[in-house]
Amino acid sequence: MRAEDTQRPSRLRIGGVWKAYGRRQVLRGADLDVRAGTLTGVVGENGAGKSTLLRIAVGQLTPDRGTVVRAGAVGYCPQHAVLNDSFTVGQHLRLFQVAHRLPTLDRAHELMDLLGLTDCRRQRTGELSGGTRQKLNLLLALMHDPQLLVLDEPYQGFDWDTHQRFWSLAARLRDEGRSIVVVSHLLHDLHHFDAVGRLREGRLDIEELVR
Amino acid sequence: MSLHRAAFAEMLRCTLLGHLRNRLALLLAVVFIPAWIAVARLCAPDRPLRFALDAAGTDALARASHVSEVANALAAVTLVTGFVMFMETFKAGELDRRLLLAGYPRVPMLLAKVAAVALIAALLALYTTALLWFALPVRQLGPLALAVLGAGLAYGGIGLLLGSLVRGELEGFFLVIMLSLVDTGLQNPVLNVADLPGLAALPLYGANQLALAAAFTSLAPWSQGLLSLAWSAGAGSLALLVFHARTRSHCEAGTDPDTGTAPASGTRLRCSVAGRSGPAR
Repeated sequence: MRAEDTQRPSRLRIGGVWKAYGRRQVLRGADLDVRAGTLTGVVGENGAGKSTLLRIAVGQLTPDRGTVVRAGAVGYCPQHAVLNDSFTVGQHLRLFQVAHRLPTLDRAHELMDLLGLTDCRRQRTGELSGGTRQKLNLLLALMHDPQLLVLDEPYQGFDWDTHQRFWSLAARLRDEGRSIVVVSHLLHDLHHFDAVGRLREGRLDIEELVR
Repeated sequence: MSLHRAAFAEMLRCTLLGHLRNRLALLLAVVFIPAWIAVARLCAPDRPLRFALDAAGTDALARASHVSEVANALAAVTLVTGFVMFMETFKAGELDRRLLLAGYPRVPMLLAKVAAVALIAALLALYTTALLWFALPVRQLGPLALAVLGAGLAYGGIGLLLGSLVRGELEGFFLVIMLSLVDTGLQNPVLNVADLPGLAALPLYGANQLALAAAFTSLAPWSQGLLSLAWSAGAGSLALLVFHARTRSHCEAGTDPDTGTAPASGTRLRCSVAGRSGPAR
């Protein structure tokens, strides 16, 4: 870790986390320290435990052993769009406005403009295309401007323009001091990261990248 | 409006609108209930039937077709409420867990789900009682409506429970249909299995006894209505327990576990698990 990074406050510290599903040991003492103002990638083969690690990081899953320390609010974007097909986009926004205790939806509307979601506020999410559902999935994680963003392959189904806009937004948030963890499969995305954690045999090998 | 009241109102509104958008459920409610009552009228014999009303401690005399109409009305209500509540709970489960993780107040969310069951059961009870009133010479309308409400509440609670418990849609459908078929079949006096032991333990027993007494006698064994409420409360409480267990967070993300509010900047949430001393095998 670079010297200037160690001076920044830690937003997420995962220490010695173990997790097994039945007899299958997925994580074997994984460590991760995410500092303020950093964009960290998590890569690994299918089934390596990337999503499990992220679910443990946000508190959705309990590790068998280990510690997770988080600072401030978290925004979590699950790998597949977690929405209610009977609800409209607007209803999703209002429910998450309550969950996040937001006085207004101004930021959500800005993000809708940015991601190209403006026209579908009254549409049921069951009627949306896969890419549009994924945009809403991401928006729900970003709308309260959390200090820590944990995003599990957030751009699946995005068109190229939206994909690029996502990375511009991620870079902007990082520059504003937010901490972002992104699971990625795409090699051409690696240059966006400040550090990449490679998940192998249940452990994370962290590699610092020069931007 | 306080946070909890706003959370309750928003969740209830969204849930009810979600039900309204469920076209299959609406079709079932509007068409299936009268159709199933009509089937009983057409198919059941018109002969007089004397049957035991254990709860009232007496026998009742009515046309077999009329008795079948009441039994079929209850069957239709149990199927519709069980199906609707199962579907809603099953489909909403993942988003509900995500909302809770994001900090949605848990108690108002759960109360909104229960309130939605009660409202739907009440609407169906009014509709079904009106249909029966047109179809039969009903002796007591009020207790009959309460009996239908009890049947809806009991199977609404069961739908909630199955929706939070089972992993697959098909399993849930099968269980709702199977339970309703067995329950309503065994409770139907026309099928003459009224002496079977253990009938009183079935979810529909109380509602069925109250409905038959209200429709065909001047007696109203009110306490039987409480049996349905007990089933509803029992299944609903189990559903809430399952829901609670499934939505436990390793630690509440973005909220202070002590106060339920967003933590001040820099507040740290530490969640550690001692667990086993070695790796799981």
